[in-house]
Amino acid sequence: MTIDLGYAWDTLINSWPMFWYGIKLTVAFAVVGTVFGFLIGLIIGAIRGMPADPLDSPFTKFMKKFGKALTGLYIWVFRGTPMMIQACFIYYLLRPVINWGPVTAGFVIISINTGAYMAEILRSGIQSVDPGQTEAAKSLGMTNLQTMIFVIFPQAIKNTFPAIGNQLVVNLKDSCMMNAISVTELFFQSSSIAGSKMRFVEVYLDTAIIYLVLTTAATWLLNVIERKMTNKKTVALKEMSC
Amino acid sequence: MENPIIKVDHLQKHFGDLKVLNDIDFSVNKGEVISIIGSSGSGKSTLLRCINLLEIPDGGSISFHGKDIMDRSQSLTDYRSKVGMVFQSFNLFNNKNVLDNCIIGQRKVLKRNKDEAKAIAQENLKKVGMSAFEHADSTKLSGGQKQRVAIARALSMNPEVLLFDEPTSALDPEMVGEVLEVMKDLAAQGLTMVVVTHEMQFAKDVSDRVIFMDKGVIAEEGTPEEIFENPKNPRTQQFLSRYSAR
Ligand SMILES: Nc1ncnc2c1ncn2[C@@H]1O[C@H](COP(=O)(O)OP(=O)(O)O)[C@@H](O)[C@H]1O
Ligand SMILES: [Mg+2]
Repeated sequence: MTIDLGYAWDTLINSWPMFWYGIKLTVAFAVVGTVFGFLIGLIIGAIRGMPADPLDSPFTKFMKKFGKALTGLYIWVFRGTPMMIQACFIYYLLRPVINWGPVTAGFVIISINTGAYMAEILRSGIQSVDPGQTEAAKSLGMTNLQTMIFVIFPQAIKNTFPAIGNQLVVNLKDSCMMNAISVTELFFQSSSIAGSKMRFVEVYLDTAIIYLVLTTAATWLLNVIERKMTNKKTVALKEMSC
Repeated sequence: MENPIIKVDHLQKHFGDLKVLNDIDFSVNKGEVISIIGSSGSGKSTLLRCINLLEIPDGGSISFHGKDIMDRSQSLTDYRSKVGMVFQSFNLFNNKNVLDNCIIGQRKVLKRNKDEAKAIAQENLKKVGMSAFEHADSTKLSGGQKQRVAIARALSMNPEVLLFDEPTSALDPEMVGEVLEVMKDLAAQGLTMVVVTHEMQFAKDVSDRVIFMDKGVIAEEGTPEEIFENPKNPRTQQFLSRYSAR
C-alpha cells in the first residue's frame, strides 16, 4: 500500500477546475436541500406536532388525524430507504412525465429526503415548547396559525438549531449519492478524474480532504450562528442594566 | 339592574369520569372584582379556563353580553381578546422582549398599527412599573417582574374582563406584594376582574364579592364581610380557619 502524496497534490492542482465544478454542485445541493428540507420539515412538523384543540370541529379533527397518518407514511418511507434509491426511483419514474434533468431531480429529491428528517426534528422542537405559550397566545385571541408562526416556530427552531444545522453537514456528504443519477457533484467528478488517470487512492484522498474542509467550514459557520443566537440575550440584558 | 358581562349557567365539566365542575352559576358585572377561593383541586382553574374556552364545558352555558360563547357564529378570537387571562406561570412569550410581548396580540388580533400598539404597550408597562425593562429579554426577569409584564400584556388588549389564575402563587414571597399592588390599582381604576387567589387579605380588601369553591361547586358566595366574618357553610369555616390559624 503506497500513497504518493506528491501525486495527490499535483492532481488537486491540475484537476482543480473539475474538482471545483463538483464542489460548487455539492455545496448547492447541500444548501438547497437544507433550506427547502427545512421549509418542508416546518410544515410537516407543524402538522405532526400540533396539539389537539378541544375546539376543533369533527372535520378538523379528522383532517389532523389524516394529516398525521399521511406525513407519518412520508417520514417512514424517506427515512427508511437510502437516498440513492430514492433518487434513482423518483428520477426515472418521473422522467417520462416531466422530462427533468438529473440536477433538477436531485434538488427535489434531496429536499424531500431532508424534509423527512427535519420534520421529526421540528416536531420534537414544537412539542418541547411549553404548552403555556400556546395558551397565552390563545388567551390574547391569536389564531392557531398565528400562534404557530409567531410564538411556537421561533422557539422550536431555536431549541433544535444544532440538529437543524447538522442536516447541512449531512447533506454536504450525502449529496454524493446523487452521482447515481449522474449529477456531476464532487464525488462524480472525482470518479471521473480517478478513472481517467487510473490513480484511485490519491484522487480519493484529495476528495476526502475537500469534503473534510467543506464539513469543517459548515460546522464552524453553524457554531458562529448559534453563538450569535444566544448572545443576543446577554447584550439585551447589559443594555438594560445601565 | 345592569346586564352582566359574563353569565355562567349550570356549568359542568368532566375530565373523563372525574366531575370537576358541577352546576356552577354566577355572573360578572361591569366594574366588579370577584375573588374565587377554595382548596387546591376544587375546580377554580378549570372554571376560569372554561370561561376563556381553554377548556370546553360539557354542560350548561356561558354567555358574554347575553350571547352564548359556544355559539360558533361568534368569533372566538374576538371573544378571547375581550376576556384576558393572567396565568400562575406567567407564560410570557420566551422569544419576545418585554415590549413585543405586549405588542403582538394588539397587532395580530386587534390589527392595530405599529405606533398605536407600541404606545399602548408602553402605557400599560408604565402602569405596572415595568417601563425601564421595555427592551429586556422576557426570560431574564424575576417572577414578580414577569407577572407584571403579563398583566400589561393582557391590559394592552383593552379587555372588558381580566381573569387571574393564582397570579402570585408561583412567586417568591418577597415578590407577591408588587403584583398585588398592581392588581389593587387596577381594581381601583374600575377594571372588571375575576381573581382566583390564596391571598385572603387581598380577597378581603379588594373584592366586591367572594366565591368559595369546594369539590366543583360554589359552596358559598357573598360579600367579603359575609364570607370572612360570618361564613355560613361549615366547609367555608373550615377552609378559612386554616388561613387564620397561621
Ligand atoms: N386537563 C386535565 N385532565 C384531567 N384532570 C384535570 C385536568 N385539569 C384539572 N384536572 C383535575 O380537575 C380537578 C380540578 O382542578 P383545578 O381546576 O386545577 O383545581 P384548582 O385550580 O382549584 O386547584 C383536579 O382534581 C385536577 O386534578
Ligand atoms: Mg388552580
